[in-house]
Amino acid sequence: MNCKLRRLDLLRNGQKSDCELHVSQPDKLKEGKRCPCIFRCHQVMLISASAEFERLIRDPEFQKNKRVISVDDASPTAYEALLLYIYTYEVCNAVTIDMCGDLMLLAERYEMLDFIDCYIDKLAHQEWPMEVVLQVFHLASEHHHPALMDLVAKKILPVATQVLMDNSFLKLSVKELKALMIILKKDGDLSDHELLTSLKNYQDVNNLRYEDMEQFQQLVEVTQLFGHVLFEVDGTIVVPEEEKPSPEE
Amino acid sequence: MSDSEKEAAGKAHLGSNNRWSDLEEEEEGEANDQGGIQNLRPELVVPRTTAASDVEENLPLGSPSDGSKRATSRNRRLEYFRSGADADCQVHVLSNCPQSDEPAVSVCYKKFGCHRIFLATASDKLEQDVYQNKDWNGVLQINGVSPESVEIFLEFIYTFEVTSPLVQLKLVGDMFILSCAYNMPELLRSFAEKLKEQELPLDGIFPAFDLAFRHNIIDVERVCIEKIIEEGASLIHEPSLMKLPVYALNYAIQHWLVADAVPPDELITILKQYQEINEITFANTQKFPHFTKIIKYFPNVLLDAEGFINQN
Repeated sequence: MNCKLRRLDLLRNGQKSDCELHVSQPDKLKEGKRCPCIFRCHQVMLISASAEFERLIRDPEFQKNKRVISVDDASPTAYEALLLYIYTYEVCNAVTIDMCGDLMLLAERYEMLDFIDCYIDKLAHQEWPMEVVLQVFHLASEHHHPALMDLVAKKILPVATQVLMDNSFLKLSVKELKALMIILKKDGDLSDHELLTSLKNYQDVNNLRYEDMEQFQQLVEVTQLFGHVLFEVDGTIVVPEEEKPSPEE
Repeated sequence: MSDSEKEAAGKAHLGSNNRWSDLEEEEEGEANDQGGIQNLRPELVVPRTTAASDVEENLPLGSPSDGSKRATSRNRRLEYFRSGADADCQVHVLSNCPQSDEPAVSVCYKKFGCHRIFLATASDKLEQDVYQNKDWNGVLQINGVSPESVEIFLEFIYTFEVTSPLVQLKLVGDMFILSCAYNMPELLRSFAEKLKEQELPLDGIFPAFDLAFRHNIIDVERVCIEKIIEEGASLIHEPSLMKLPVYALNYAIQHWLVADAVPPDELITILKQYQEINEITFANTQKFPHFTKIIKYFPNVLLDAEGFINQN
């Protein structure tokens, strides 16, 4: 769209700019020092897109600070993506999964849920490294984002076996573990035996037994997805022996 | 095609009068002092809500759109435009006066509070009009099109979407004019997509198809042809079918044949009616040869001495 290119030019060259957005981020080379990334913006663009930006711009401090908005809650790259969306309603193809946390934070702060929807559409067309699947699963769970969770479910299924082998699986909360098990069991690619084995492994690594009854109770809830599961006296999940194929088969 | 486009462009915009040049100089002075939103001239009148928001407000309770909208930046920007907040210019469109019998009232305008930065980034022409026009007086006047079409046009400029409940098939001519005048083909494309979601009035389909066909508005043409195929059984009775040019009629008939949407016998009956109403006989040396291209789709059709179809 020619219209979108023209607005992109406006953002890029800062023509007719009447305010600035300064995004601070700790410089890794000089610990503690901050190097602000400066974006030259237009007040009506920001105000018309977000109530939070309106609040920041209407604040008397804004004029005192020579029409500069200073933020430090997300990376400059994330803010650039946000501004790009504010100006063009597009998410740049270069936006990666690594930015998911920052972008969700910004979408919530600035009440721009369509921004995250657009980002999720982009993610859906990307290849996800296996280790990222659980990372995004964690974010979707943390932010209670159904659309992102649906996307995670689609991305998890092709790599289901690998997911259960990955160390990050063992670091999920029990609540997240339950959501993951629901996804994997629903798909049906992995047998109950495989799922229960990974569940037992999770229990062993995280030492979930009677010392933390609350966590243990939650774990028991997860096992109820698999019908009648038995526990040893010390609380360890008993994985039934895999059924041998009958002679007829 | 280019002549009609120039005509459309000419009709769509009038420049400001020179008598505003003094005010222009004064405004330039003010502009230099402006430090931001809060310094905007307080005398700017905030316009009343747009027709689209009126329509939305009247939606009955329980409708799907009832309840609070999602917190999206697009919705917010749309409301920002409709409210006219922080407006630094206005767009005026000629409008029908509510009391047309009063002789004192001669001209009425629909006024939209706008923001120059949004208008300027929509197209080169708009940038020239609002930033480089030496006669600029804070008002962009658009003539020759309806207020509804301008509202849709402006909402598209703000959100890059056509979502207005004002969208209807009869506006296609105005949308075409605006799209050409300001070189914004995306506007027509979005408008066509919106039309696709709607129930189109049967009496409006052929006139819109004719317009789209003549000006090569592919998106609208496609929407119309889908409806023509889909609603063939009903559309064959539409009077406007008889007013189509031969070329457009040819196109419609072809689609009905290929899609088996209308029985061939009924199509021949339509051709007879069209021929009689438009007096396409041997004597009409210009149109008749083109008309025969359609007749040839139907084997065994014979003509009488005057050239009229002789339907057995």
